[in-house]
Amino acid sequence: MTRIRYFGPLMELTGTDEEHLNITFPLTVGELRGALEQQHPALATESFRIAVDAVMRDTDTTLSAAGEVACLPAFAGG
Amino acid sequence: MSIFVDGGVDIAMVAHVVAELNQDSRVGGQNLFVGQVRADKHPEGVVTGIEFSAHREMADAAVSAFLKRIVGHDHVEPVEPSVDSLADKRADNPGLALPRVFIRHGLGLIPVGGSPLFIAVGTERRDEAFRLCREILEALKSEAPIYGKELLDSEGHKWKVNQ
Repeated sequence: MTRIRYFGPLMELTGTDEEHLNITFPLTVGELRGALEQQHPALATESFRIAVDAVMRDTDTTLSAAGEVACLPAFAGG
Repeated sequence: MSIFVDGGVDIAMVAHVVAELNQDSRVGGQNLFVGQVRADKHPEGVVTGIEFSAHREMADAAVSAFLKRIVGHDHVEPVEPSVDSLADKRADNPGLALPRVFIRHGLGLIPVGGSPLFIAVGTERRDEAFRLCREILEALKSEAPIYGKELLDSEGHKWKVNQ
């Protein structure tokens, strides 16, 4: 199971700050996003980046495994 | 060292940090920035406070990365007074990297007037102090995954967007 974390407004859209999903690897980050959108259709229209095990990943990066996936919308600290 | 503290930044630390830097004979300028929660007026209501959250591990890693790039080292100093802090930091202690850097960001609910952010730098000269403080501030806003939920007097909320 992969830990999926949602931050900022994505917490409200998904109704949770984290969940564990059974993801089949390998897959690209884009495909991973598609899987998350299937789980939560409201994500489809949102702009966010994906970090895998605390490292930002491009959409076309292929993942062979992931312990934690973080869905990160625009930052707003300070 | 993590930059995060629970609740708002304790502004009593400002005097402590200034005193710390006063003990460093290499320092010729200090620049400090204190962020403050503002009562912004939105069509949906007036902001009464901001609830901050973050991906703490990634945010601290981002701070380390941008400090190496901007300052040349990633040593964020503790701001809490300790028994040996002043004694150990007198004069030109070679164990402390220059510029000296202090950063704290609050998490959880911080009401209007509270301080979510504190940045202080101590440098040899004033131009560098102003520049580094500003660059650290902008990098923190754009590179660290931190979020703010603005709570409104209408009992609704709005997600903070950095301008």
